[in-house]
Amino acid sequence: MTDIENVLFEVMADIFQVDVSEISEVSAPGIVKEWDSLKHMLLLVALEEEFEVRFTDDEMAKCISGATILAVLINKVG
Amino acid sequence: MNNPYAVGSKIYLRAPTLEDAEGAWHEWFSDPEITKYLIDRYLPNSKEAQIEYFQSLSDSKDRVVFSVCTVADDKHIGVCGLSSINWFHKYADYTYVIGETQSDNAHVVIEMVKLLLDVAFNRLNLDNVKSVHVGCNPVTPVIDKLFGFKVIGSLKEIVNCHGQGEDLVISQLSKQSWIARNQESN
Repeated sequence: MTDIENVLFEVMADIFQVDVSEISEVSAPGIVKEWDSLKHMLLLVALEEEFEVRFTDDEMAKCISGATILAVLINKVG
Repeated sequence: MNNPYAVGSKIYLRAPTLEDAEGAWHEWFSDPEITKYLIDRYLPNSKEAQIEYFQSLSDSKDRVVFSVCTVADDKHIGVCGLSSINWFHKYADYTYVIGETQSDNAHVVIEMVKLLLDVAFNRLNLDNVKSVHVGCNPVTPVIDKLFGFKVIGSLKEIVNCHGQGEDLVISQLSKQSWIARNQESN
């Protein structure tokens, strides 16, 4: 795993209050039961702080799963 | 899609129709769970009242309302808009209600706010959009933070929320800061 992926999964695990081993690129709302609307928003805020970035409106709209969030982050900071 | 005005990947915005008003729309505003953080929805709603409201929209000069519909199956799932529009000073409040919660509701809300801000700044040429929310609402301040709204201040314990006095928090997003954030490339 890349550093970005590692950090992303750790932040996701922290926000969703699950073990990091339960997080992967296929993680998404409906798959991770703890992934609700509020936690999705809190995840994006936490990632902005962790990676010191600001998501554009288009980037936020693309962030719908572990894989798409990772792609957005790699494109932004990778 | 039917008469789309602003289109995203998951949802689109269009003008409300009489069919919307005759559908489930009125039920959303009687539902205590859906309305729990709304400031001015404490009385029961009815289909007749919703149709009357719909008919008043065409005469409204300070409000633009959209039906929020799914792209995939054209289902009317919510309503959003810009209200208290001041065309001279070019500002408005943004408001929304998602009546039919989706499994990926966060994606729906994010795309809806994205489309609504684009409408406000690029199509209606507004300079500022305000957000006004009850202090006990846990979701709106997070959405506002993501979209770059800055908290301006609050009216203290002015709203009755579940029997308790709650603050009314006012946030603001200017067109300049919205453009700057969307041009950022880290």
